[in-house]
Amino acid sequence: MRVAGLILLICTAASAQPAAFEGTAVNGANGQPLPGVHISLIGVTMSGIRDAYGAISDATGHFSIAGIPPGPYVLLTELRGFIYVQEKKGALPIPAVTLKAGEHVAAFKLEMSPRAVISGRVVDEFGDPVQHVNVHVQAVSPETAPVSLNIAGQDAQTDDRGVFRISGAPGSYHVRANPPHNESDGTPEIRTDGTAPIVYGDTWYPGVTQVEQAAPVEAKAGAEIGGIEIRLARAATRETHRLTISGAVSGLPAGAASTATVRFHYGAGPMAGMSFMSASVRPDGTFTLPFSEPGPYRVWAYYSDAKTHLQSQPVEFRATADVTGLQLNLEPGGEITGSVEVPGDRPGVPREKRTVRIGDSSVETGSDGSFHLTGASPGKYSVEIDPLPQNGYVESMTLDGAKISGGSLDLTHGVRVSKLKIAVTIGGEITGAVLNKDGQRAANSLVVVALAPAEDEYEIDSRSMGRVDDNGVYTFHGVAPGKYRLVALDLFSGSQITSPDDAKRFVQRGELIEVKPGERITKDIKVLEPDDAKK
Amino acid sequence: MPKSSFAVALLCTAALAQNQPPPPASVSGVVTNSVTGAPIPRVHIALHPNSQQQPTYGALSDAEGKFSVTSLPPDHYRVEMQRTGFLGPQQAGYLEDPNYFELTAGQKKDVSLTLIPTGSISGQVLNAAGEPMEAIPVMVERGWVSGIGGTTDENGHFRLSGLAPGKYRVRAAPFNLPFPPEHRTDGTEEVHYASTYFPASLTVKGASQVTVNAGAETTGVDIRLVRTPIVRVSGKLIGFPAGEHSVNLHLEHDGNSNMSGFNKPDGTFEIWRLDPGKYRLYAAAGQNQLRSAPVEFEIAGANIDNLVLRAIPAADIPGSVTFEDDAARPKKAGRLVLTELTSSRFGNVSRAEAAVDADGSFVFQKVQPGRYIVTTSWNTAYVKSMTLGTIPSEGGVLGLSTGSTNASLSVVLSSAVGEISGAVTDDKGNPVNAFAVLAPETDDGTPLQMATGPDGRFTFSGIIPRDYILFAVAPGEGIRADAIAHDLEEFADIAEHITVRPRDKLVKDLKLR
Repeated sequence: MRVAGLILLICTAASAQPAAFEGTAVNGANGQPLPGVHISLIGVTMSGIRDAYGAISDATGHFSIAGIPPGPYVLLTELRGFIYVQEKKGALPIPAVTLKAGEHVAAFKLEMSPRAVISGRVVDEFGDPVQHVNVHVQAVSPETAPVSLNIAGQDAQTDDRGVFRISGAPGSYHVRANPPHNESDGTPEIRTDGTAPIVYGDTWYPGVTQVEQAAPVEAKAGAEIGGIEIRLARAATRETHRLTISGAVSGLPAGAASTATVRFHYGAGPMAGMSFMSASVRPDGTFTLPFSEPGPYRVWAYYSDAKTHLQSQPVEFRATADVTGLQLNLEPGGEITGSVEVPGDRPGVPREKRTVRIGDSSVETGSDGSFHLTGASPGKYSVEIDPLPQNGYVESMTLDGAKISGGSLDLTHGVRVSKLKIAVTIGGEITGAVLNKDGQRAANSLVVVALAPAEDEYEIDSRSMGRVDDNGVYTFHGVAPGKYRLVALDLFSGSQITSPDDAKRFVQRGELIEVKPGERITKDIKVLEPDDAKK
Repeated sequence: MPKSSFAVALLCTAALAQNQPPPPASVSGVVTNSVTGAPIPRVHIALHPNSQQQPTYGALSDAEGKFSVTSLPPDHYRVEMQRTGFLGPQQAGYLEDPNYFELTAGQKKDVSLTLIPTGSISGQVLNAAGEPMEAIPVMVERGWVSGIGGTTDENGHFRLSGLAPGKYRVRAAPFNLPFPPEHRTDGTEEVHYASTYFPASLTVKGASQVTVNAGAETTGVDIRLVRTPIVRVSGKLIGFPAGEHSVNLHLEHDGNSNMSGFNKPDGTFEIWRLDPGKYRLYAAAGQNQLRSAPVEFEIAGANIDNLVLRAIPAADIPGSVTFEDDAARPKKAGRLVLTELTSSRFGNVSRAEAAVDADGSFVFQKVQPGRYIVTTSWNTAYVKSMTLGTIPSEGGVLGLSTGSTNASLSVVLSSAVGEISGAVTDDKGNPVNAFAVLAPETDDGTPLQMATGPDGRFTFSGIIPRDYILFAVAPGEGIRADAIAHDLEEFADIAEHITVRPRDKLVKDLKLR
């Protein structure tokens, strides 16, 4: 039954009637035909660039491409001095076309706009030019602005005269200058000549630090708006005063071959651990870590050589000003001894080698399923085992005798020398086709599928995102029993998801689905329409 | 003064120093333009103390280019200057930093500082038909610098500025997405251009150097892009687990490394539109947990198919060290270091260290397949020869491209290092300030670079016996600190080939090009 379904599926994809794309390239400024435009249709799927189709417009501006498999394509154009601009359609801010099976687009009007240019100079508060400043243009209303693929780039660097020049789509823009940040070890420079060190921050044209106060620049097709002078504004105090976390580390073994390292994680929630920084402890035992973002921090020290693994208890705090006098004492830690129990493993029979990954450290299991992991850092991690039997997932763990359900391990309060038993169970599987609004399989599409636990306030992480293959089939393996919301979004035509709230709203529109232990479910799912998601 | 009273005086100073801080020093001076001699206002001058954890002092030059810093604790200081359009002597690649000095307690130092006006390069990027090309990234390459770049405008023009005076290679590098040739049904043919050096060369050797003078613009640097066929590199992956952890392809070329996921679910891969040249490719799954043996190939004009990237699990390599002489033994606990040889500056270089026990035994843990060099953590010894299993080899290069096959490794260490010295002269035979560069003949070691004094003298001591190339370059044309074989190609015509045998002390004089 499964095999037959699969064959049917492949046949459907292969036998789809090819489409054709034909039209005329014109100069949007005067309606005249444009010869020599290079038109590319680039088929993009979740597994990468699939294929590209192309043509060059002839003397009458006419172009044609035949034999294109149906699906969504990125529309890329090239003609010196011109840019193609398209009304915004989906979540991705790039021009695109979607071709249906057998469709012949006969009269596509490819209106090319002569490039609009914004140029000017970046100066400091003395009026001197500043070089190596990154200048970036941003549409005044990005939500409604038409989209384009600008091969020349939406930003530029100032030269030795402070001059920049950016060419792109006509429109209303805000222009921002990002001056380079000077290397600094956190201690401000001392001046004795009456002057003060100046640190410039990101500045919007004409010389303001907030985008709300920025003056819009109207870039017109085929014209150059020159003389845009951005006078750099001083950075807010937070940036001028680089903050530091400092303290001392004790407990380094006598005669240690190397020094200890202090590391911090910044942020809260799922973002914790995404930003981190580390510094070596000085010979006198002190350390200094620079930081620029006020917020939650977790700081700990570790030392590791071939035989000894030491780690301090992590210290957590909210930093808004310099933090001094942190005391970190190294003690045995960062080591986890344990075993992995997988269904089918039998006592006395050598087991498959598996990799156990906890955060950024990993280790291989021995023939008895045991492992000894060193260098585990404090944090909250999902424990990964690789390889797992089909549909296997981490059902529960026992850390020093305490049972934890699920595969999430909370080590935020430090990693002592611990014993961890990891129990793997065979979970469920959900598979099916993703269908577009016409009820056809969304093959060769840029579609994402999410499976979010219904009890968990629909929290989405990387594990809840599923891959859709080029035939439009999605599969979730190793699903723990429970209730879920299942939802699919087309990145070309769907809504833009920019915040966790967007994501939650998006997931709540999904279908409720219950998975029983070891159950295999086949379920086709319709791509969520943009209007549905907005409501 | 008799010796003892001097010592007493010193002690007193030391004692005094404990009670009150030493009288501070001060620095004042003027900053001028090295070409015009005119004073430069609003230069940011920073004085960095030699002692760590001491604050930096700074000043801003006034309308007459004058500046002053007082209250400086006695120390050695390095002066750094910042002003758009200018570079300090060190930023411009000069050999010795003239702005490094000691300040003693109470000293009032007067200095004159010069800033070198930067130069620029401008030109046009053209296609094979001589038509201007838009949005082409253009960059300079030179011994010390790289990465200063720009993009051509609608008329194909570019301008690269902020350059130190000297000689540069200029390269136009069209941005090529890695997809297959376009399917076309209108009878036209897709045109593809490769990364091209000024004036129209695919290789470093064929590149013409562009001279930039202080405060001047070198114009007319027109680059004619070279058209190349769109070629495919394809093959299959073997031994990687099918599953959710994706396999990434890592591709290294010209010192650059990039990661790309062109592999298909059926275990095959395709890479398109590579520039001509030499490449190294390997596959890695997960977070570098499982890697394939690297494959090397050269793109010339034809497709390269049927490459096989076979996964080889990391394996431990046990072994033992023997010392050819006592001087080769480490003073304290020593470690052997295994470093992967790649053609990349930024790639994911695999590395392992192993402590050498009292009986000479060691174990390298979890070594990935690849080509490695074995070095020691102490500086009195080098790897003379090795035997992996039953296969002997000279030198420190260890080929593990097919894994270690569980063989053990015997390493012979020797202290019989050599030395090369000499003097650099100009074409009239006068000694000159220059850089002497000593690089391994093959691409399995790091080039050494040494600044000569005004007498032109250089000495490379403690070097491993082997074949080298040796040459001299003018100040400002030195090679990159992280130079690879690619960067040395342009010196092939002036390089002396030299073989160093154990305990050799060779003399070799060099001429500047």
